[in-house]
Formats: sequence, structure tokens, C-alpha cells
Amino acid sequence: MAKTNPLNSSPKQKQSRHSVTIKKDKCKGCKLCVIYCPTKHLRLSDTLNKRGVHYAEINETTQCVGCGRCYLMCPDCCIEIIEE
Amino acid sequence: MKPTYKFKKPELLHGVDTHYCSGCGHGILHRLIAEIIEELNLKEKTIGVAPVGCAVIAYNYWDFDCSEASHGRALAVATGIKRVHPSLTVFTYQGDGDLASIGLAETMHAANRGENLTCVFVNNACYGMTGGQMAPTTLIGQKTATTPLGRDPREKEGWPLKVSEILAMLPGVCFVARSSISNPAHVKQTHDYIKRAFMNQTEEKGFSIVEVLSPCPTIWQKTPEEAMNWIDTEMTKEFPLGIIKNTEVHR
Repeated sequence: MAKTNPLNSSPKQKQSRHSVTIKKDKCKGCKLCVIYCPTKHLRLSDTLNKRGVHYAEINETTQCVGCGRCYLMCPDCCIEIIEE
Repeated sequence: MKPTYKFKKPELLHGVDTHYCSGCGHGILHRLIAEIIEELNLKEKTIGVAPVGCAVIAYNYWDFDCSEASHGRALAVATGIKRVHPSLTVFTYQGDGDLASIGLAETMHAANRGENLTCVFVNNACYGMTGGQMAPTTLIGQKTATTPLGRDPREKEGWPLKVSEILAMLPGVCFVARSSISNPAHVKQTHDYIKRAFMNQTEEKGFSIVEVLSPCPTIWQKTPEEAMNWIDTEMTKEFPLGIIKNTEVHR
């Protein structure tokens, strides 16, 4: 009988996923969330919002790790993080 | 299914748009104070006193009782409120021009009397609302509207006033700390200090003040990112971070 690695044989744990919600019309485009995001999950948009600024939007190519740095640094409280 | 929020806007913060500039530190501090009052379950037991300065209409953004004071007199007004309602938690939210310049007499005497109050002191090294004039806390060499060549102590302008260190010498003061909001770690540290200052008041320990180094990108003529870096590299040299005093006042 081949030895099995106990770590591999254990059932796969459910990974928690996080999603970021941004209120785009409240965003003033200060870019602090973009700077402090460790996975570059946020970026500034190419289009303008109601205020006439390039607002923060989600970069779909990377994943949110749910660290909350964007939430901590957002001066306008327009970022919230949902755990799924 | 209702989503589970890991990070959510505090309920004590109204969802209205603030009038602050892009990258202003007031927004972060308003959120921290709302979070702390929520955590300590003080919603119906708190009265805030708003200052004169950029945060003059701070009461429009918080969902708890607030009062307004004339320029610099927030701690005098807070003293009155606290003496009439000793069971309530009373805090002031003041800028450096308000607390350290025009209201220095009120600040010193409220602290010296050992009033059981909490004071959040927002230090952005300039007068933000009136157009960027020199404040007592302006750094040496910093250019402002009234010091276009930079603040020079050998001329007429004097040295930066370290209010927290001065207040720490008074026996009525129980907690003095200085922090900044220049990165996520410092924001969390600021949260802890302000929470400690509120808890000191509920435990009737005496006067607590937390000085927060806050960015003013518009007046400093920097981007929000550069302003945050400037706090870390320049401001913290003159105003070192940390707890300056932490004792219990014996009445």
C-alpha cells in the first residue's frame, strides 16, 4: 500500500472568497485603496463618475484576500468587503 | 441569502457624501470614531463637540448627538456639557489651529482641571479651511500661505508647538498618545488609542487626548499618496508617534 500524505488525503477545505463592493459615485479618486491593495485587485477606472473623477474599480484578473486595507484607508467609506 | 460583511460601514456614520477633499484624513477619523462608539455601545450616551475648521459640520456625518463650539472653545463647551450630564461620554474633535492656537487657553485649563473628557486632536500642520496659513504645528521649513519661504524659527515664526508633550506634563491628564493615519497599520493603532481614550472616560480616569497626524493633500500641494509618505518621512521626525503618558489621575 502506497503511503499517502495525510495533508492530501484530508477532505479539501472550503476556501472563503471575498468580494469588494465599491460605491462608485461616492469615490473621489484619491487612489489610496489602489496603492495599499496587496493583490492589485483594485484599479482606477478609465471612465468618469458623477463627480467627474476616475473612480476605483475591481480588477477581475486578481483575487481579493479580504485583508481590509482598502476599507481602512478609504476616506469616504465607499468600500465594503463581503465574505462568501 | 443575506451577505455576511467582513468590513462594513459603521451604522453611526450617515451615508451622505462628505465635503472633504480627495484623500483628506477627516473621513478616516470620522469612520474610526463611529466604529469606536458602536463597539463601546455608547450611541445614546455620547455627545460630540465639533470644532471650527474643515470638520465644522462633522455633526452632519455622525448619527449621534453633537454640539458646535466657537473657534477653539470646544473643550470649554465640553466641560459645561460634562458637568451638567456627568453620566454621558463627551468628546471634542479639534484641529491644530483650533486646539493649539486660538483655543490654547481653553485646552490648557480644561486639561489642568483634569476634566473627565476625551479629545481627538487632528494635526495637519496648517490651517486647512482658511487657505493654508501657518499653524503653530507647521514644520520648520514648511511653505504655507503666510510663510512663503518656509517657516524659519530665527525670524518671527518660532518653533513647532508640541501640544501633546506640554499637556503630558499636567497632573490632571491621564492619557496622551500620538499616532498617524498614513498607512493601514497606523490607522489600526489610531483606532486602539482613541478607543483607550474613550474607555478612560467611562472609567473616570481623567483627561485623555489623542493627537493624530493627518494629511491635507490640497494645502500641502501633494497627491494623497505623497501626503501619506510626507507624514511618515517628515512629520514623524518632529512629532514622534507613540504613547506619551498613560497614568491614572488621583482625585
